[in-house]
Parts: sequence; C-alpha cells; structure tokens
Amino acid sequence: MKNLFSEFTPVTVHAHCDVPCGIYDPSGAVIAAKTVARMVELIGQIEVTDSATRNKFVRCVAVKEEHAEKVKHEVQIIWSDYFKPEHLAKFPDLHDQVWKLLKLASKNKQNVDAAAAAELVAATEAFAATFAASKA
Amino acid sequence: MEPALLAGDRLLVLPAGPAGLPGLRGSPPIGSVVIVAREGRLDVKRVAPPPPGASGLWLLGDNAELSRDSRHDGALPLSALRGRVIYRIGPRGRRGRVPAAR
Repeated sequence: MKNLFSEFTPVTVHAHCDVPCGIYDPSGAVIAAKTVARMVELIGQIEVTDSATRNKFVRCVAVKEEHAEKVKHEVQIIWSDYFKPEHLAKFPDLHDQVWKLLKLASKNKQNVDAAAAAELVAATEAFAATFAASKA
Repeated sequence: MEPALLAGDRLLVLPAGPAGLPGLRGSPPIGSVVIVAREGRLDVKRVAPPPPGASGLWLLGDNAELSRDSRHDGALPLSALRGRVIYRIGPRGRRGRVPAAR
C-alpha cells in the first residue's frame, strides 16, 4: 500500500472560501457607534471662540463622520459575508435590522443628534446580539 | 466539509474530465463527495439535488455554517468536475470510506 500511494501526487483541495475563514466580530462596529455618540456629546460642549476651539470642533465632526462610516462598513461585511440563508431562517428580520441600522448611521453623519446617536449604539448592540445568537 | 472530512485528511480520488475514467463522464450521484475546479483552485464539496430551475452541479459543504457553495454562487457546469472522492487514506486512524450520503 505504501508503494502504491507513493505513486500519486498529492494536491491540496479546499472546503472553505476565505483565508482566514470565519473570523467576524461586531465589536468594531459597536465601538465605532459609541465613538459617534461621544463625538456628538463633545460637539455640543465646544464653544467655538478661536482657531484652537474651531480646530477641536472640526476634528470631532470629522471623527463622527469617519466612525459612522466605519459602523456601516463593519456591519455590511458581517451582513454580506458572514450571515447565510439558514441564519436568515432563524432571524427573519435580519435584513430589516441591518437596513435600519445603516440608515441610522447615515442620519448620524447628517446631524448632531444625541437621540439618534443613542439609537445607533442600541441598534449596533442589537446587531451584535443577533450575531452572537447566530453562533449559539 | 466537517464532520465527514477534516483539515489534513488525505483523499483518494477517481479522476474525472477528459482524462478521467469513463464511469465518471456523467453526473456524479447525489450525495457523493467531489473535487471541482472553481475560481482557479480545487474545492471539495458534496453533490446535492439542484433546486427547481437550476442545472449542472449543485454543490454544498457539509459544514453549512462556514461553507461557501452553490447557495451563494449557484450551480457549476459539469466541466468543472475533477474527480470523485472515494477513500480517505490518511492520516492514520482516519482511514476509511468517505460516506456517500451526508
């Protein structure tokens, strides 16, 4: 048998698509959503009187914009790449949940709104909970 | 393809395709484990019944949670078939027939 097998040339075959495979984590999205909420809070506290305070204000707005975009990106990756049809059977409102979350992230880009920021944090945490439940 | 196959398993494969065995020129049976060429590499998947309207090789991974397969990319043409897995030759202790049905 040993001699027989040595006549064959082994090749590698794959069962999964991606390397590394199956490494997804919604915590980045949750942290980004919390960053948005914190920036909204800071923006409300800054009184622009000179170039230094203006600089700080502009930076907070830029960070808010960047992290709201990060929420969208991170959630979209998990939504498109991680979730499979059998997850959808288990969580039939997944698409609606993601759609509303992404819209909420856009709303936080357009506005400085503490209530919308709190909603974004809650929605992102709910999405993370769905992700965790899908692994249970 | 867990639990039927584990990473590191060595498989004996009946080759298919133009240079393959005559017995493998048709469609492989539903439930068999096959090797296909897809996107420039070789994949191992199990043959499933195609859903209504689909034709060709409808391939699913046993480990549905992690597998990327026909659920995402649709059917593959029969020309993508490279072989049929018939036996696990190693590692030691895992030698045996690869079950045909899931």
